[in-house]
Amino acid sequence: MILSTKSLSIGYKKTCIQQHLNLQIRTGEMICLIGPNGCGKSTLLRTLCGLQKPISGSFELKEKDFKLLTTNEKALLFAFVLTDKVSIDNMTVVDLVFTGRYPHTTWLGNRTKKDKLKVDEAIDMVHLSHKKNSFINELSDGEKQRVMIAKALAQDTALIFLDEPSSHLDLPNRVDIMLLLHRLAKETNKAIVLSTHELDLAIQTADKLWLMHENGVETGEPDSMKIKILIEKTFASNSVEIDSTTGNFKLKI
Amino acid sequence: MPINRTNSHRNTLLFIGLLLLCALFFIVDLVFGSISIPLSDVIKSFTGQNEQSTYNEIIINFRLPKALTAILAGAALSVAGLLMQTLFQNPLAGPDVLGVSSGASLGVALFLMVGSFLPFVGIHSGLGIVIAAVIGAVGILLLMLSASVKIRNSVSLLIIGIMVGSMTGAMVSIIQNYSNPDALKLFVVWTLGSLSAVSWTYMQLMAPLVILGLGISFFIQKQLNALLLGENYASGLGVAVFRVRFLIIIATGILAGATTAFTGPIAFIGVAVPHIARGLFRSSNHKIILPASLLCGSGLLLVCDIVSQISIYTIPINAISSLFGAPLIIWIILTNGKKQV
Repeated sequence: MILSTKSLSIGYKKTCIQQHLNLQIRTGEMICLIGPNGCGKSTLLRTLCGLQKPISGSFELKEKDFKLLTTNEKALLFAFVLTDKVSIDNMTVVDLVFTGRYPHTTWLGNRTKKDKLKVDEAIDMVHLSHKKNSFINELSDGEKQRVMIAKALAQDTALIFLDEPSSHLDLPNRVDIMLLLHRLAKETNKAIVLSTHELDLAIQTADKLWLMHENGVETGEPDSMKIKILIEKTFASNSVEIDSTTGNFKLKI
Repeated sequence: MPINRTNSHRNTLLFIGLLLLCALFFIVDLVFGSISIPLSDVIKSFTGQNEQSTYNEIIINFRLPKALTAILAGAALSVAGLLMQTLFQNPLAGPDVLGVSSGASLGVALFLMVGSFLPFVGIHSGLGIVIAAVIGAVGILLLMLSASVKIRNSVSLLIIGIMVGSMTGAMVSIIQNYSNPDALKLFVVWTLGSLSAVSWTYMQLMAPLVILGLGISFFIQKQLNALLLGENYASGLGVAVFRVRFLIIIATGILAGATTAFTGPIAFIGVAVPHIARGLFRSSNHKIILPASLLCGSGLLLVCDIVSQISIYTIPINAISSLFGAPLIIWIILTNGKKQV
């Protein structure tokens, strides 16, 4: 168990979006957080990343209360990829991925052999070795997204959160990223939690689904009956029919 | 990694080149002036061989502190500009934006003009101007600091900085309306800026302040690199964002405040030089860009000083730096316009 929440309520100052969440993340597990727009997927991820305070309740990282962890301890425990746009002039791919080594380096930020190895490994994993000395502002949106994932990998944490990592990518890259994350979870025993709108990919790659709807979060394996029924209920509408085994949809014309 | 190696090779060469250029400009700045002094006499002054001559007086007590001031002020303003651009993630941020320069102006205006009505204040005292400017700058800084506690968003803070600058400017205008002509003239002369205002006595105060500000900046260069990714990503990497922002504001205040106090406002150096440094070294890593901005700023202000003395009548340094800097800002806006502003 790497993370567990205790009756966590999330939201903003006056509006509580989700309450009494009891969720668990285990190592080596890839979890896809799915749900309709505005149900609180990003809010949940932002709360778990410590970017906003929970309204009530608490959560523990490696059996330690999140509130008691220092910023550096947190940086060594989990990394995240957000939807924030990063656009920095004259910054190379290598330099950006190196910022992921921040919690591991001394105050001077000197790059040791181990740091360089981790950075090269991370860039290699997202298939960008041939562009490692390119400026990030010269990359496509999809490539930029992969650089940010490499940065999170270079941070070398047991847990990675990703907020809609595949949103700017074309289909081969989308599949590639999901398979990469799945493989990472299995090979490195990292826990990976990502939010996505790609139902089909989520169902086919995730070990576990967190299905968020208006009244809470349902968790379970993608092929469990409970989840299947709920997927159909949550995403189906007058114009769309969902196949809960593959995540594909059919238009009702 | 062949490309990386040539890059670091290129950077080393660039740093050596910049250092040599700065040294060259420093010597040229000492030799040229309204009175031309032969290089041999300049060297003699340094070796103490013509202690009695007028040349010696000019070199040691006028041109040397002025050249040193150019180096210190150029470095301080450029590094302050770089710090602000990283903090606000805005290519057009500079020490002026935080309202530090306007705060210093307000301090000086209050001192010169309100003080002129009070018989016991020595309005011709240069030290008084310095103290007033520092108090004004620090006052605005504290205001911005308290605003930054409430406002987590850098862009909002930037807008508040501009508003505060306008307000202090308006207050200065009002004070000018009610002040006597003598005090007004003194203030106008101060706003034109002058590197020669820094005597050895002031240098004893200015040099340590600038070195302190630069020291803080170098100390936080790793955090600055992480801040380039934005506050969310920086905090995810373990940066104590609040503390680093505080340190950046303190360092900027010391660098820009002290410089403005001693030399009057020098426009555009702070905004323009970091862009020159980034373009030259093709990097955004503060470990490279910080010393690069420092050297470029010193060199550029030395050149400004040399140019300002070409004619018999010394041209105000603020006018020269604007002629250099303003076109550069326009160029930045034009090239940025393609992406977004």
